[in-house]
Amino acid sequence: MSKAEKIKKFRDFFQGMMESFKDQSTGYIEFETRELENVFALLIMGSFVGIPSPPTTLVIRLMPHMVREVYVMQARAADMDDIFGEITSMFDID
Amino acid sequence: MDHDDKPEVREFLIPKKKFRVIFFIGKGGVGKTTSSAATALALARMGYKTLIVSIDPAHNLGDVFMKELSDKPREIGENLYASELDMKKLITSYLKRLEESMKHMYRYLTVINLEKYFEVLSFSPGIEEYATLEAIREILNSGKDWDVIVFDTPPTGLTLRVLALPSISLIWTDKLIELRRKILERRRAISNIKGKQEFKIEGKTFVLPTEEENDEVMKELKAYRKEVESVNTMITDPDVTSVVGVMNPEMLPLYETERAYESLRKFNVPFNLIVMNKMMELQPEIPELKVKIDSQKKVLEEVDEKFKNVEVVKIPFLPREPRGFNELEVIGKYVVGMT
Repeated sequence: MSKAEKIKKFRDFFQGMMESFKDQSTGYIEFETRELENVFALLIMGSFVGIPSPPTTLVIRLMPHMVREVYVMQARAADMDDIFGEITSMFDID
Repeated sequence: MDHDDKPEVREFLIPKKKFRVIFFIGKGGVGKTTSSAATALALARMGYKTLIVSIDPAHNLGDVFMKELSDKPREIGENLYASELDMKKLITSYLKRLEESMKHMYRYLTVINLEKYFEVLSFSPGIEEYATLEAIREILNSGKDWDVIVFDTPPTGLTLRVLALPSISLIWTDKLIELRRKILERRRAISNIKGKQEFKIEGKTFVLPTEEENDEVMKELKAYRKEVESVNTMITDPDVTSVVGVMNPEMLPLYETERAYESLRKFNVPFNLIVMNKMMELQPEIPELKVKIDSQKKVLEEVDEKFKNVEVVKIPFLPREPRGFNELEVIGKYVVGMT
């Protein structure tokens, strides 16, 4: 292994470590953001699930811009049975 | 308060700012259409360019004026324009518009299978109120064309919900804006640490907006808020809007007017006048009708007691329903306060 390769590996290792730190540090916020996005989508689509919903005109106007939120909501519904899994992994419980 | 003998014109019926909006509300059959038509006519005769719009699905404004009316304002006399909004058509076209915009914009519709949701949406409660509010909003936006806009409304329930809508919509929008801010704040925090956040779906990549100015959802929320607020400012401004309650001297219309008064007060919509239609006055007294006269008296006493700061105009029971300009003008002068 040449010197340059060694340095590259070393740098990659550090970069990976930094990434992992960053991921850990934002993990909670990301989880919270997803939850909020889920709630936002749920509120907008309230009439679908039977909760009071905001003005229909507003709903229609917001929907086209809510790809992300609706996707999160759907994913949330699909992962419903594993919500504890997500929480435990966040707190490093195996 | 009884100001029947007051010679001046009622100020809350004539324009103070750019234009004046008057809603006539009340139980079915108490004479809303006649009173509103008469008032519009009297105001037009005073020189104000007046538009009277019927938003009652069961139209009879045209019958009262004895003219054919449509959803475009038609000049039916000097300074007087009238139209009957076809609410059914309006609601259908409102839904159609929604459907079209959805079909255009939801490319991802099939991805997450939302068709069913939209089917439900067109039957969602309140769609009629929203369509009515949109119609009112459009007319109010053309306010600069008129001095006075008079609305002849459907029976109380629907009208009250429509007038309450702007306030309720504002509450919703404010809550959603608050929630959206929280989401954006968190996204900002994450992208400060990890850089731009991307989101991939169906082979397309979006950058997640973190600033309010770039977030389409926030932009829509704010634009909607502005629109609703402008309507709300108008209908809660006593210098612009007046609500006239029409009733008969009977208990049931009294209860309904009371409820309307309370709920309008809650939403800060100014309620200024009660038109007491079909007042019986018998000289000499007929014993068989004494009960009727007595109950009428009782209702009037209750009105005086319950509606503080609301003027009451009494319109006598007429031998036949007033139709056409001449008969209407007499009543109109009563309401406006010229006689």
